Amino acid sequence: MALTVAFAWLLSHFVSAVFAGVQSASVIWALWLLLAVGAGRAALIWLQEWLSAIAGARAKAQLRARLLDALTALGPNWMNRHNTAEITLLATKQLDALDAYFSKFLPQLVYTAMVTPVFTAIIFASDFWSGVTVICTLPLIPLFMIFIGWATQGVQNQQLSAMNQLSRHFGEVLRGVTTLKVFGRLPHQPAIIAKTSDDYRRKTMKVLRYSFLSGLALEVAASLSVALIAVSIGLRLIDGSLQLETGLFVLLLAPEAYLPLRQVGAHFHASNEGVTASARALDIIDEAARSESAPKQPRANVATFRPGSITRITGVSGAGKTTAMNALREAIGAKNIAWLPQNVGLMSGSVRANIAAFAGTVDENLVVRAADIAGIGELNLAAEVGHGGSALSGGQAQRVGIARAVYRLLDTDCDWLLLDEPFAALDSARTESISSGIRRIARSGKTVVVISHQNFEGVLAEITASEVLPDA
Amino acid sequence: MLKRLIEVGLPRDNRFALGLFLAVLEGAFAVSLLAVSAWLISAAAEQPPLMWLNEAIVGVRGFALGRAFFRYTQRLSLHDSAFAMLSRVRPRLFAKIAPLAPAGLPHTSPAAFADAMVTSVNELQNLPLRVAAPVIQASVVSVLTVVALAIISPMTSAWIWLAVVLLISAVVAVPVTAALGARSARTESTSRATVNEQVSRLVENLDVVSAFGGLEQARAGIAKHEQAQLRATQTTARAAGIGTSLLSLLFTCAVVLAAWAGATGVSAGLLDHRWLAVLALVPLAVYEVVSPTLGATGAWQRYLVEARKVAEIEDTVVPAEIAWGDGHTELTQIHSLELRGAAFAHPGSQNSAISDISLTLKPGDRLLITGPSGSGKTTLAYGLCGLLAPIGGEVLLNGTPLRQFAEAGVRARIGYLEQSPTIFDGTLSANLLIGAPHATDAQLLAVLERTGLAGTFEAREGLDTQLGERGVAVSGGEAQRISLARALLADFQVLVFDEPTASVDESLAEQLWADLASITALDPNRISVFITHQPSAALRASQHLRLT
Repeated sequence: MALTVAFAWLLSHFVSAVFAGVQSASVIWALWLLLAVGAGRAALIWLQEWLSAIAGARAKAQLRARLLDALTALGPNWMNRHNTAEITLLATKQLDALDAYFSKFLPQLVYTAMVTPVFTAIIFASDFWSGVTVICTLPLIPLFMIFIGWATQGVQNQQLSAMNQLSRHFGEVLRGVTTLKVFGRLPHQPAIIAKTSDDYRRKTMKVLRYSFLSGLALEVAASLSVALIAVSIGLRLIDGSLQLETGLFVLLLAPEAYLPLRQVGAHFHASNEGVTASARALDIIDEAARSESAPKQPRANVATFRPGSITRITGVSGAGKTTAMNALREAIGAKNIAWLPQNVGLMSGSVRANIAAFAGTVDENLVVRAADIAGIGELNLAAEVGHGGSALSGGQAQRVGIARAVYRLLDTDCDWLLLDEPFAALDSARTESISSGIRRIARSGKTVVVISHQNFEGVLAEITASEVLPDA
Repeated sequence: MLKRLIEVGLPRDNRFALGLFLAVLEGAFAVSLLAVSAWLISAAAEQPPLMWLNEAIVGVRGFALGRAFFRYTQRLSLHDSAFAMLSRVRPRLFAKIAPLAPAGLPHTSPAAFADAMVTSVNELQNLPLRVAAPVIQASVVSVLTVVALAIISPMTSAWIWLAVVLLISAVVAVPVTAALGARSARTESTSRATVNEQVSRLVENLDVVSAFGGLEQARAGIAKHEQAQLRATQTTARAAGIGTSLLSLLFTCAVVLAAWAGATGVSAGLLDHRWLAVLALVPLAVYEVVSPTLGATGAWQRYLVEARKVAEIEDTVVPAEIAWGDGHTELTQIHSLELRGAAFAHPGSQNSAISDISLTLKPGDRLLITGPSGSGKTTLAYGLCGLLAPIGGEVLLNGTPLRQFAEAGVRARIGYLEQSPTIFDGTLSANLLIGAPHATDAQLLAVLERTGLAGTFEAREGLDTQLGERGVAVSGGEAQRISLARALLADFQVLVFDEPTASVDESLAEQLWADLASITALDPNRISVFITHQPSAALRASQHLRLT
């Protein structure tokens, strides 16, 4: 900043000296100094750019990590109640918008708070009336900002929800694209998407219009103030009450006094999306902290399920069998469970990689044993399964899921095997062979809990979902 | 390739051209403002009569207001045109992906596509807003300024230095910065995209990942890429810093040289001394217009990463097995559906391929297809519905190859009921209306009655019952019945059921089979196909095809 002032002073000194008829050679020192000041300023700019970029990325990564912790802590039943696409968007794109807040807005705010009073004081010292003008007009800028900030908040939230809706809409349409095709609704979709997208555009433009309008107001205020100063300087130059050197110096410095404040305004709008998103993330983190203090215990005691036996959770459709199993899982703790979820959730990769999911080292013997128990002999272990097992048939995906659970059970020697609908897509011969594998596992001392709409040999106890579900 | 990538995200409408024009005006006004201010103060120092300065005073005010106004209007029209472009890209992308369903969808998740359509498309705005506009604005304003100075000033040395500095900036400083930052900006964009992808995948599969102890591994992967992104961000910022300071230094030189040249001119009597301040200050104003171009590098790299994804989707080729072609024969009534030695396979995959299937279905026929999992039951269902064209043999509808009919007609007559029907996040009635958009509430209630759903939903909120994300609020059996209700509303003549009892309680499966059998038998014209691994006697099938 000192360099900016020096720059302005040297330039005005040189110009006014030449103007007054001084031989240019005798004031050439001012130009050399000018060059040196310019170099110094260039070095500082470099330093500033570099430092401000670092802070943002760190803070964002931390917030994201805490959000993921919170989502893990809140558990599957919470996730089921919330829209995955929206949460994904929050954890990725919307938190990314925080970059602008940390790397632009905050440094600018600090800089402005330090620099503006100094500039004002220098202008004051140089020329009283210009100083008065600056002091009178400067407060207009934050005032404008506050008014416009209020007005923007509402539309900003609207825009954020429009974006969520857009992403949710796409998620839904793409998930159900087969259904839409079968029912002949596909040809209508592009128009609907165009409409949703246009709705988002309109809401975004509304936010931008406010933000640009505030930019306009700030700029007009600043420009008019500078013009006011310039004209008043000019008039006082005419009647000879002001030196040209001072006049030029103040003219060069006046915009610099307004610039930092204006930039605060500009960065404020740019970072607003990130701030709104971080507020939502913090809400989720708080919710997780609250729920951690009061975990919901399943009604049935974990001890109800006996080692060495198979228990079947029964209940009519919609009675909450999966919710019951989730509650049971939370009570036991993930470490001690091998589990087959209802939506198998295979990851892109080979069959082998899916069976030995996340195991540190892959034990080939165990993979083969698990594959054998799950009856996937016909599948090549190296074959790709595609995202979510999309390259496999429903039954194949399910059996890979069973093999994955069995592998974990054998590999980590955990006590519980929980299977959610293991036979849903299997014929009776396969069901028989897999259930005999499950019986062998139970006999080795494991506690097996199965959700299945068909009874099978070896089930020792039955419990209804409502007996397991936690109190609401 | 580059041409194609630019094409993806460049708006070519009038609003964009208008925005660019306004941006140039804004820049020109900014330069003029400082020039006229400098002249005004110099002239005023001579203490002339006030009226001599009137025009300059008006000029200062006018340029100040005009600059602010043009800035506002250029941003509005550029952004509006950029977002309108995004709204055009999205439906176009969807129209590219959608025809692939169900057999040709690449094995990436719907979420990844949704992400491409929201996030990647959103990043396309970088090209018009943060690359094209600042670069064009800076170039045009620079040239205009130099030309204006050359016209106004009697001395070549007064403007030549600004021209030289601008030339060096354009040829050296900006490209060097771009080159220095390009690699790290690319790394930054790709690692940002990777982080986002991994985070989405983790959030999507959080339950499974944590259940299998993969949380630490996944989190470590994310952290690693976040680190890479951080390092790249720092490198990019350093490069950008070098660029900015280089540019600032260059323009300081321009100021110094112009001031020196001007001063010499004044001493020699070649230059009116009122012009000295103008010459010295104009480079500063040009600097303000030129410096934003440095940010274009990062924006350009961010654009490239996402534009590639978008271009890849736009260039999707629909495989021959799925593309419908230009069949346009009208279809009103199906008299026969016939396979003659037909073979089907998913495009690019031999998994679940089947061959040499021959059968004939007439109105009233009921076909049962059984077979072990992986034997190609679903592939055959796709073939029967015209969702997959045969790779061998023929599929004939009323004796004519199926794809010679218009697709809309075939879709309206043949219905495929998926193994896991899609229940959309919304109300029951919205889900039913997919079958028949204009159905009345009375018709909806009637079909609920027929499909045995009336009781279930009466206890809840009737047609207004919210079914929840991915239909979490309905069971597998209810989902099948909703799917059947939709199909009945659509009034398909051929109904193909793919494993309808797969996720239905055993105790209820028999009831569902019985209901399906009786409901489909109501219409003597109907052809029903049941695919299952647990057939029921209730089906009373007229034909039975066993796949192996």
